[in-house]
Amino acid sequence: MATGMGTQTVLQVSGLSTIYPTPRGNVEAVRGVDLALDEGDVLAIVGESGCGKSACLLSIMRLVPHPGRVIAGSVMFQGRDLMKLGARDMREVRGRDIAMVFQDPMTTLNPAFRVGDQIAESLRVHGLLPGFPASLARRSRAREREMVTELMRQVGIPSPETRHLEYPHQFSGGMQQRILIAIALACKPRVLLADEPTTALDVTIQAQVLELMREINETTGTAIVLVTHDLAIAAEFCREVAVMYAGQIVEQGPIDAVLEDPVHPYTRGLLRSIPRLGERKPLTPIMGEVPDLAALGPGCSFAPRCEARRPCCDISQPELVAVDGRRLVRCHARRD
Amino acid sequence: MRALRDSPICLEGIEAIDEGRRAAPPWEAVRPEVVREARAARSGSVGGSGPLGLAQRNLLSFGRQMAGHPAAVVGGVVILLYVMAAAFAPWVVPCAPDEVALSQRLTAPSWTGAFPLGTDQLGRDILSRIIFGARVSILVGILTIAISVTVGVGLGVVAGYFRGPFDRLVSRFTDLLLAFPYLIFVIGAMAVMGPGFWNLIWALSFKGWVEFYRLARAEVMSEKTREYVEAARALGRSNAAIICGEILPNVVHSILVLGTLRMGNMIVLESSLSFLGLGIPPRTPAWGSMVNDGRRYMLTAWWVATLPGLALVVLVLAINLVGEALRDVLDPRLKEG
Repeated sequence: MATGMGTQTVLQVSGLSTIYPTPRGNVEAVRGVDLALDEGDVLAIVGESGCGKSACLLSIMRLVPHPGRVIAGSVMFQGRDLMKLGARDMREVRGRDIAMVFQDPMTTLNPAFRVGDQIAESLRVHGLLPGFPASLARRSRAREREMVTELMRQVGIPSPETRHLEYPHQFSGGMQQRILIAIALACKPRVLLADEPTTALDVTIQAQVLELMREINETTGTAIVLVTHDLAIAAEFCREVAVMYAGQIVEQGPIDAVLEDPVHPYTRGLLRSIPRLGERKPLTPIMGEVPDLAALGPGCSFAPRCEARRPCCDISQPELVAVDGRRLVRCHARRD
Repeated sequence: MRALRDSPICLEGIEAIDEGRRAAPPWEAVRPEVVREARAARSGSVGGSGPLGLAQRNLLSFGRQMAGHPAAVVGGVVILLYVMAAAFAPWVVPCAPDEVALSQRLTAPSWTGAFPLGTDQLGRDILSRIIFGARVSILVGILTIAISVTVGVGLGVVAGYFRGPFDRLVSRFTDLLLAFPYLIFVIGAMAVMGPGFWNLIWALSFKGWVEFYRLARAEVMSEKTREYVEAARALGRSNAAIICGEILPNVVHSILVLGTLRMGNMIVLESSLSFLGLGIPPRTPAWGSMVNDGRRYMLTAWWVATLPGLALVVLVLAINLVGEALRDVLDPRLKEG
């Protein structure tokens, strides 16, 4: 997309749509999302709770929980459409080519196993370490410990030689998230999908974890998609940002352009509702409520809350079109 | 505590712990070099931090925690005595259990006499019959629980993980089984099949698995919503690997606790059936049928009915004490950090 680095595209998402059937009708969680991720890209997806950010990542991984399902779209990765892969081939891709980091490290680590074993397991799943019973051989155990401690060292866990024997509850939240990142990085994935990886952590730890992810991105070229509701994190960490609202991308472009000069009224509203240190102005929230995704009207889904609303907004969906050459905006009232 | 520490199973690991304790009391925090030294000292044993080393240490930590429950230690010793006596019954009994000595009928217990616990109405030695009766009770307990756990957990894990029509079908069937009172159900089954050891096992297991099914299903359903399962899927693990490698280890403790507690129930049920003459055939000594034999002599020869009953009470109590302690130790919510 707009990185201009001329590198090759690793992940190309087009027209991705996901629904969750409910008694009230189908909740359209993701509605025609297009994304392109180049090697080494860092893309943020921002938006309110329930706007489809996480559903979007889960759809890419084909992990949408039952009864939800992806109804349309393609995810091209290394010349293959992930949506058309068989279950076994898809398992091969998960973890090895595309890895995921989840929001709450405490519950994402299995409480019954030592962290070293959990890291080793991620290597075993994709054959980087021999599985049972070969894993019991003295030599493969030594190799396992070597690889595990090396990964733990890479993600900055002090004294990994001792700590790989500990259980998840013996680690702090930040250290747990580092272990999860170690697990995600074990197979050297091309793409890392991070679903609010710092939400459960306090601010200083957030910065450390983000710094770690940035380092990984710079040294290995792993492309990262970071889902967050925190614009400050997106601004700090990413080069490109996609703002989601009601399952659609409403504005996408280089982070500086979007944050300094937002075009879409929703992005403007989001920026106005962030408290700033030293400013004593009252915050301006976005009025109204997130629309019911099970009962969307024909018009723009942001129209009922929009300050720049026009008559046509209630009648037809705006398209995502290029504005000032650098970004895409989905709004009837955009400047061209 | 002492008794457990001196047992040969734990000795190896205890050395490592005691080595480590000088540096840091909680054994999880034992410095690795200390452990390595201790390990190196026992030549020929597993080195490194592989699965075997971990299993040993886990067992050890478990043993130490169980030792903190004196009642459980007593219960464990009692169970061990019963099992040993039952296993070596032909060698430890003073008389053959079916040796009839009509001249000695209804002899009172006496430590000095030939019959320490007295004789029954046919002059058979009660101690010998109790020891042989332990074989029946323990075997019934172990076999019924083994069958119930295998069937119940197997079906419950599949139903809880995949849900769908299979879950609905099996769950409705268990509802049906639960609608029958247990004892009436087993009495009916035994009346149809007739007394016999294996008939008894099948009759008890036929309904025994239901509780394990429900427990396993509920536990798997709640574990399945945890994020680590989603993370395992995102890592590319298959359903079978997730069930066996991620979920079962988090569920196994509650199954172990229920299994222990239910084993006591099964033994009581077996005795109830034998008491009614529906369980073990009369020639084989069983505690329930012994109590029934002694019923008529309750006022003149109390020991004939009371002592086998006491043997039953002590064994079931011991099993329940161990079960309670297992629950305390294995429940992760109560586990120390």
